[in-house]
Amino acid sequence: MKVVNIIPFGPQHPVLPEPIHLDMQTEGEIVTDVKVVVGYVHRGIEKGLENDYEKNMFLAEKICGICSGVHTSTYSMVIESIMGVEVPQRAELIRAIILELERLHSHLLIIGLVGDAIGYENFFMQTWRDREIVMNLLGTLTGNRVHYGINKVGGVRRDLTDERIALIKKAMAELRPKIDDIADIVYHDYTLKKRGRGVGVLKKSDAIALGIVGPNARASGVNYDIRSTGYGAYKDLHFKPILGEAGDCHERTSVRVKELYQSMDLIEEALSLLKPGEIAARPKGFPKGEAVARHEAPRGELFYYARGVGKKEMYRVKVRTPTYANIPGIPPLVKGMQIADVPYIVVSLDPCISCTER
Amino acid sequence: MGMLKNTLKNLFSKPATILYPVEPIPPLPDFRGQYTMDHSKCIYCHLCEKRCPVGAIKIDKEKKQNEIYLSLCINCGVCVEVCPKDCITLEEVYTPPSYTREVRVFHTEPTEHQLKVQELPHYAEEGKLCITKTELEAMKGELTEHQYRVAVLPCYRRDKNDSKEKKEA
Amino acid sequence: MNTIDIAIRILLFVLAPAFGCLFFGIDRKLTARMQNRVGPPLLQPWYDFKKLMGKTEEIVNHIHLVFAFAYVAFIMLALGIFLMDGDLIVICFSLGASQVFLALGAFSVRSPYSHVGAHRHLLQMVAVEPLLILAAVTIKLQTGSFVLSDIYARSTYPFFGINTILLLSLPVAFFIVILATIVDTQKSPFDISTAHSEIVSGTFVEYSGPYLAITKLGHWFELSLLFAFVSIFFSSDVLWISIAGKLTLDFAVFLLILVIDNSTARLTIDRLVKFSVRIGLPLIIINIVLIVISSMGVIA
Repeated sequence: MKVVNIIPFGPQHPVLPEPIHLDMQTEGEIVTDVKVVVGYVHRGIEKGLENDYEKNMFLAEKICGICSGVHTSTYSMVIESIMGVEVPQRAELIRAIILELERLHSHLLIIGLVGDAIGYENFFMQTWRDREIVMNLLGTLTGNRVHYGINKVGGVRRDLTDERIALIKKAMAELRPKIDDIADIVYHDYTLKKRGRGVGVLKKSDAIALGIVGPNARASGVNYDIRSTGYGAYKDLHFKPILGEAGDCHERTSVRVKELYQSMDLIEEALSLLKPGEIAARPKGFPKGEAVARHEAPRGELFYYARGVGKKEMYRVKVRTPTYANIPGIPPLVKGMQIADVPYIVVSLDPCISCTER
Repeated sequence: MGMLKNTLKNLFSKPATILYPVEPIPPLPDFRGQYTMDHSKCIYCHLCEKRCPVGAIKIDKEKKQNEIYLSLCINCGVCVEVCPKDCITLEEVYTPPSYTREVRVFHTEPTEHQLKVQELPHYAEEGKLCITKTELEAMKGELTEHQYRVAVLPCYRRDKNDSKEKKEA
Repeated sequence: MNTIDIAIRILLFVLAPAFGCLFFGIDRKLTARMQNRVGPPLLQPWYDFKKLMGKTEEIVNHIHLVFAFAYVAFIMLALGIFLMDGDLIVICFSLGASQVFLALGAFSVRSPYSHVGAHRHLLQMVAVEPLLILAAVTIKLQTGSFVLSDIYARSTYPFFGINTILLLSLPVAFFIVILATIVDTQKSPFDISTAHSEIVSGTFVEYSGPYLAITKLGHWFELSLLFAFVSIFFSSDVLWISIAGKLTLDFAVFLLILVIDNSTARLTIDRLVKFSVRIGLPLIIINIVLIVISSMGVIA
């Protein structure tokens, strides 16, 4: 008789503070089958978004605690395209700077969590310590470390003054050697490579078939970066999506490390393009019509659909977050792997469950 | 081997931790902190009340007092932007943790019953609410709806505890 | 052995958990410093212990507790034998027995995490215990005895007046003992059976309150025993040199383990087994062969 042992992972688990549940059927240390259960933190935010379109900005921000900036940016983009508001160039650049700073801290967070998942506490502490530089910078620029509240329909609420630009430059100069150090560890550390190479391999064809987005898809060689569609300020910024080949856990971490450099370069480019001018346009009337908007969030493609019927209240706002697309990637990657590798695989996909369940 | 170097370097350098409750963390510059207002400037235009995304502000023209429900406030700063008289500011302090749904009342001249109401949450905070539910019901007319809700919660909790103790006894 | 001697040994036995506790305290403090943190107070393990002792007793089943007590009892037995200068091989086996009881305790409850932890614990024993026993065998080959008092007496090798014979002639055995210490104290890269981010402390997951405190007490004894084992490798005729040398050696090993812990990620259980079979085992066998050949040469 074959003994089937079911080992739970989550919804409360030390490595991932977010509620996702995996039922792993195991034989010894090998996972043979896995069932993913989500839906523990549904908060009805989409229903709540059927509200005043300006007040919604602060609810959309609360969807995620890590990528709050990209949610408000996408939300304002979708409302702006319904209402036909021209966003000033300076506001677009400020949004791009905030988004890239957010990508920096989100990627640093998940690189650290990878360290935690494989028992590399010191690496975890190091990345999170360096992340504080970005968090405090964001706090100074926007007024809050997590929920920035920087966007409003038509532009941004706070301007980048000269002293704030100097602060960004100083922080970037401080951060670059630290990221060099992290990159050196990720690329060359023996135990990290041993744990990550060949674990949770996502083939390019699978990544396309499953619809994986973001750095996870790019690590498998799929050239899919919404920023290259040139929304907002990204039409003026120059960058090339970073592609990996192997598609394993280590490759996904490496791609994120390379994106840290990319983000820093983009911030510096955006700062050089910054010209004096208006930071917000005034929206007129109420939203009427429907629109979609996409952004490249730190975790992948973020999609918003909104419909207004000429009232202050929105008729419908639909949010599709990157993790929603990435969760189907978990079962095929986990199958056939060891129990020890499961936390690493799950974390390397960078899941944000509260984002997904809205 | 990068980590080995860092391990040894960290061992001989000063820790990065701030011992938080002992050592206060200075708020960041331009930080959106706790709501406060200069009530004497207020013209009761109700703009902040209307635009507040969470409905944390209550302007009462009749009683000439403004209330902020600190547990609801998300420190977004919309009220500061919309105020025509610039009487609202977000102080650069962190809102301290609290056991109750604290209501802060702003008024130019406090009346007697307002002071009494202001003290309500503090009694509840120490776990010894001075009034019982019946007393509170009698006071209901003097309280705003929200203040009543704030006060009634520890009341119910106390009543519940009382009945539990009675059962055990 | 006179009365004072025995009294000192009993005192050492009583103080052993205190040493273990202090070592864990220093461990947490130093680990924190290596991670650029401040860390808890030095006596934090003691505060934890005290608090755990005061908690409600939540029992899964009684046999689970019997195994926990057996674990602690065998560790205490091993340490007792060590302090009475007993037989090295008996110490190794009673250390092994205590580990088996820990695994059995983990198997006696129904938590899947506990079962995975127990599986891993047994596998890690299979990987490490033979090496530890072979290390004891090399010590025997070098000194002619398994009994500690004889080992101390015969390891006289004038090297600047210090008897460093074991450390200098048995580097492989020393390496194996360090490996065993890393594994038994659950440090990276071999903190496999209690991997908190994978199986939530594995073997200990179902112990709570005072019974968790009992296993912690066992841990303190275990740590004292392991560091006592390390200190075999240094002895001298002069008492104070002997004591100072032993303590220095212990502390050096302790620091080494902490540095390794903070510079590596956790490996998987099959890597530990491979490591022990491919690197540890050949090395120690080569060491044994060399000792045998050199002793034959001396005889010839």
